[in-house]
Amino acid sequence: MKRYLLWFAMAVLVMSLGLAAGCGKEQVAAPGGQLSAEEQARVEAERQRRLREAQLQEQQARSSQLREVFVNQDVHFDYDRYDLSAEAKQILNEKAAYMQKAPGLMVIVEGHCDERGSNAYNMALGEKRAKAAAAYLEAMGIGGNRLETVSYGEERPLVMGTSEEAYAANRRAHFVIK
Amino acid sequence: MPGSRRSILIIIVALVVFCQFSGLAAARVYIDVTQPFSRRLPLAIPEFQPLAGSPQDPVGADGAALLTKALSFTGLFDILNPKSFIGAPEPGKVNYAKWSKVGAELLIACSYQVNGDNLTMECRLYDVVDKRLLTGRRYDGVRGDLPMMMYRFADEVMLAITGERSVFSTQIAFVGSRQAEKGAIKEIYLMSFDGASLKKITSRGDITLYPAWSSDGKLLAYSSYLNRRPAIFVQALAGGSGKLVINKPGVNLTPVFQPNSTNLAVSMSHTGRTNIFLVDIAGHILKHLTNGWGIDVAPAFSPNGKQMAYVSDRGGSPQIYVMDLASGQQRRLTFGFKYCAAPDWSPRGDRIAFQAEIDGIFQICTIKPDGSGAQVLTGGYGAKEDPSWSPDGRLIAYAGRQTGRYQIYVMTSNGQSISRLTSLPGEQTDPAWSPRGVSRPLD
Repeated sequence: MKRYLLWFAMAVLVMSLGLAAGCGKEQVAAPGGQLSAEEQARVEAERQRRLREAQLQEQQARSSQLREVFVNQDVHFDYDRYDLSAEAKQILNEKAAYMQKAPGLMVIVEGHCDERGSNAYNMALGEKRAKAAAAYLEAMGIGGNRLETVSYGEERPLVMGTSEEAYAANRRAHFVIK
Repeated sequence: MPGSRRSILIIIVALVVFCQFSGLAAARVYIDVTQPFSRRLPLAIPEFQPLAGSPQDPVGADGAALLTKALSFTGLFDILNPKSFIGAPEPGKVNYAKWSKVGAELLIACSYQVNGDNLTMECRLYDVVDKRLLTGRRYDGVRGDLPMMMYRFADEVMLAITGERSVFSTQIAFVGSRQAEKGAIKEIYLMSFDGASLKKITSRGDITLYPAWSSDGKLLAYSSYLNRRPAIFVQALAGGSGKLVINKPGVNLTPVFQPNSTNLAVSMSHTGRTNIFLVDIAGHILKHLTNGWGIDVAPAFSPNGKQMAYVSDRGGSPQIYVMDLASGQQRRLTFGFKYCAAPDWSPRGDRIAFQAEIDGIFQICTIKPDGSGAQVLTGGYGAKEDPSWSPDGRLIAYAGRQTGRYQIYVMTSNGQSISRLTSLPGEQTDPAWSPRGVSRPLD
């Protein structure tokens, strides 16, 4: 084993000698010595770039997470109601903050109902829900021209089924980025 | 087919000899329509007989089956089992005692003659108790006309018994849904009164809802999405696609034709409140009708057009209200139910059908226009919604969910004889019964 290492060390020595003979002296870093100033700057720049990239990635992850929350977090309503609960207002505050940071964002607010009750009444009710959510966002300073409302009544349930949980999940204002 | 239909319209001949008797029909009241739980009339429909010289033909059995099915649909008759009969009547001759013995109070005797593709039918309705002929008709046509001949005679039977023709020339429009990538696609379909002869009449590829007929049966109004909101369309049954009537910002819902007019009452939200407006067929607003602060939807005119029932949440929950159109006066009609919706005014004018939540399940109810006499017609598991009266006011179609998905059912106006009309895939909702004499759109 030691013999192999010895042979290996010798081969390296011969190769480095050969290189030294064939090249200009100033381009050679002294073996085991300091990096040139240029080299140091390059390494530092690379480090900075990686750091920025990581920060950017983290930022993007955070903003896509925010976007995901914006799109996926619905505002919920009680049965046959279209007034906003404290929890609904809290969610809408976050939506307004997100929209303020992204001034170009255009949003469709969809109003939905659970399947109980009359289809026609629910279509009107879904609109009231969408309008209530949009009006709150406007009151929080979001321009009305950035908001569009649409009612789907009971036509587009999020969760199929006749459980209370399904009904509660379906009574919602949903936010779609245009 | 349309050609032969036209020919039968022209060729139908009421036999002169029968007409002499028909004047007597008014003498006895067979069905008291004001009596909600009247008993069924025992009716015998023996095997159809070939007329002298004509060979036996399957058309006899087919005709008897069609007539039996049509008349049992009305819920008025107890159609006796032919196995109990003692022979068949000879054409034109009736042994009343014999039919009385098997329990029949009414007898229908039909005879046929076939000659190649030509078919002649002679049909007579007898009162076995009073021992007399009530009505008779002779129909000349081709074999393919058999269903129409039978439906026409069934209407004659109803005219003789109730004083009014029935639903045998009617269609039911409804919403049929199928699942697609983006969710349910809903289109308007037509079927004949008994659920046969299905035809899809819209191809919007989107959510299409709330079909409603004009009084002459020539136009259908409905809502369908356009630019992300439900807009109002009107479509001629004669053909073509729907024409956009109105698409105001917000929602444009539940169009209904004013009686004998092409004006429509429509629920719209462009003012911020969801109110009912009267618009003309060009989409001009003629009148702002209701004034609820929240949701007013689903208008239904009284047959004379002077009043309108609708749904409003102005009292805190959805309830039926009635508006007098001349004075603008509005009053609440339904009390004691948590949630009421989908009113439809009987063509007789005496009752309003609606859906009401009872123990958490929607059931079909009727109420008098003065708010008295509420009746719950259905019960049990599975929501029942969107009642629609037949043009004679004797039957109510509705969407029921007894099988786990919505399908169209029909029952008598007192909630008896419930039968299912559709057995299609997907769901069928929101039936709208046509007026009488509606011809099918051409294929």
